[in-house]
Amino acid sequence: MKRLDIEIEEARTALAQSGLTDEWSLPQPVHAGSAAPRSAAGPLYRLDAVQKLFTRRGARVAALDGVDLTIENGEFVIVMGSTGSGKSTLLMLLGALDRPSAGTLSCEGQDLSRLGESGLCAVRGRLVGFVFQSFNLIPTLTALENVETALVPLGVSAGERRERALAALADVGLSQRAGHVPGELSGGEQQRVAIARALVKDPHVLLADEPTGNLDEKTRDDIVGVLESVWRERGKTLIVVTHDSSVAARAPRLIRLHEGRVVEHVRQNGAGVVSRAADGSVVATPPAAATAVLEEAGTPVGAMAP
Amino acid sequence: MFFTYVWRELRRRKRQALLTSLGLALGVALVVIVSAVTTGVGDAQQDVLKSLYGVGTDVTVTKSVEMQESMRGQFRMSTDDVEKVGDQFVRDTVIATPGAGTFLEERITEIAQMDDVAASVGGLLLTNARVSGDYEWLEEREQLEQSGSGFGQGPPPEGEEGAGQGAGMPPIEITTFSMAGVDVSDVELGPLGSVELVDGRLFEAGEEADNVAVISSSYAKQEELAVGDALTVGEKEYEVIGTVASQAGGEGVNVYLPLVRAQKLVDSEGKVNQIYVRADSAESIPAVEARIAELLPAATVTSAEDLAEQVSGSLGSASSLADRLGTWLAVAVLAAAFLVAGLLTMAGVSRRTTEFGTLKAIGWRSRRIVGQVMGESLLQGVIGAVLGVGLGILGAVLVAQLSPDLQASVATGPEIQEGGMVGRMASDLLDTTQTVSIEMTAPVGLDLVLLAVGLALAGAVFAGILGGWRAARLRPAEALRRVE
Repeated sequence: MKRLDIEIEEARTALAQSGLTDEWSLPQPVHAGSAAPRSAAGPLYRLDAVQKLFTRRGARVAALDGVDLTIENGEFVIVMGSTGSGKSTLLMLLGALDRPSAGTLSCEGQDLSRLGESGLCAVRGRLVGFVFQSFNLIPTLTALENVETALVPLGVSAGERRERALAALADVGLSQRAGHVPGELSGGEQQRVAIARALVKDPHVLLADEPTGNLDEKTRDDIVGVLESVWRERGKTLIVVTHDSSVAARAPRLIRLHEGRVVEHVRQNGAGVVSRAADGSVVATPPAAATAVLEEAGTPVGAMAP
Repeated sequence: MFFTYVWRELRRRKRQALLTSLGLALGVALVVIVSAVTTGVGDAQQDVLKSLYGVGTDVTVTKSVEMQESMRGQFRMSTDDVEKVGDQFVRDTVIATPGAGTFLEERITEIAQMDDVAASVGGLLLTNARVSGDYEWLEEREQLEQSGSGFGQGPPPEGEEGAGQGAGMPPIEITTFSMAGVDVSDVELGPLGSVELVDGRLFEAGEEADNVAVISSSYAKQEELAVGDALTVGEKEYEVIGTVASQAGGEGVNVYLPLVRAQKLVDSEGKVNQIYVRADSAESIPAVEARIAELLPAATVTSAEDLAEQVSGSLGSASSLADRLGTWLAVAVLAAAFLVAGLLTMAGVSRRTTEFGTLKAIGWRSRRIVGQVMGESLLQGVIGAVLGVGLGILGAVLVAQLSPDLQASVATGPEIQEGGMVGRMASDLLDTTQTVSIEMTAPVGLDLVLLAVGLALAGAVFAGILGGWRAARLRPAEALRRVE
């Protein structure tokens, strides 16, 4: 798709007439599953001036450097960026695996920056499902048992655990492979087990870190299809870190990071792409599609703030 | 889930798990073996003390005197008082154990009336010495003695020091057998307290002055005597009424006689050279010892505990070996096993960083992961305990089977300082060192098995704590970042 610039003011004028709100919001997906749509009372995540600093060889390095971001319930967000841009760090913070060094990060109104390890652990156990590039399955446990591990911290009884794990495996089409250990499964099957493990506890958000990084093209499409259906049919918030542009093209919202900062915000649909850079410049491709794209996104161009 | 996960993990890391378990097993096995041997040696010491001392005797009282007083003159021989057999002379002499002083029998009564004393009896240890040698030499010696340098008086001439049959030494052979005068009113206390009846019977009350004897079974075999036969001692015949054996199978007294008969043999009526005391309780033994020492300042008062310290020979060596080297070896190996188990567990946790990071990412709390590590470690400990107890029992059995019998010796007679022929003869006659041969055992009791299991589990807990500490410190973001 060829990109054409349009004047920011033109776009703002066009979109100001749409009367849409100042917030980014997405059209709500059709919920086919049992999961109920989230409350629209507030965003799922709100990040204000979030910093994450690490010490490398005695020097302080900012993996994230003042990130402002809002992610609503039910969004499908792609996070892209070059190696070291801070995208995995962002995912760790969103997944309550770590705390920001500065700034505030809230999840469903709860300030994760102030939570202790126990509180973070509870958030991870209840709200967040993880999918990793290397699948990270326990090699000695069967697919079924691997899925069950996600229910262990919730204190679910053994019988219910098994029942729910079997259902989760069925959802990703792996019922027949439930008794196999990861070494006996293909990469795609292992990632499906990992997705089942992430979904079995019915989390609010699914975080996937390069979920297709270790898969071939066909399997990649399968896995992206599974993830997309989780978002589209079950209404889960889906945040995916990827390098793969074909994966990125399937999400309505894309955030690009560079050196720990959000450098580009993109809204897209089948009709076109509207991008807003860190300096406030907006680019629509094709220009005529800008209004439609942002209308679908529920966002005026002038409000393409994070 | 917990047990499935634990079991599968150990199966996956078979080699490491086996190494950890074997390390613990080795340490535990050594503890079992050393403890079993120590117990066996301790039992052997008890057997020795029973054998040498008597089951019912808590304290013995003896008195050492200058040997010259008791020895001089007793071996003075002339051609008149020996029996001539061809060119050889033979002389049998019964003497009270040389160097052992005597007590009046009143002392026994005084001791018996002391507080904390249950009973007290006297005994008289005697030695029958048969001296045989060249008759012509005896004649020459007698002539020399008449000229002023007799044997048995004063220092020996130059050249008479040293080995028995060396240059200048008389061609004399001395053979002895030991005898004990026993208070027939209480045979449980005293010399017969440490023997088992093999045949016949022991003395009975009323046989104080009878010519009856009880002999050791080994002496009976040597002299081809049996119950009912006559035994000649000091030109008198005694009827053998019983044969006995030392409880530990060692050599003890050869012939037991009623005390009165023994006293008459050495013209020591009303005197004893051993007093055997039974205390009311084990706790009161030190007090009894102190009272007797106060009553008889010149006497040597010995308890079983004192005697244990004098036990020498291979039993003493085994005891020392088990106590010192064995204990330290076991402790060192056990400590090494603990350390190896701990390090291997920590290394195992390090290798599973991603796994534990993932579990934390899906909501597992640190304590659950620590519990998982601890569970795996404990299972290795259980395997180590089973292997260790098995190896330990096998080792203990092998030690007991392959080790030679232990020899225990206790010197109960006075120390011989004097050299020359008198010294040599005295040494032979005074050889009151009693030697007992004890079969080595290494019993493994339930308490030892429980100790072994406890130690293996302690090692596993130690390793689990180290591994768990490492796992608990693992920050999930760090753990997962390492994989990126």
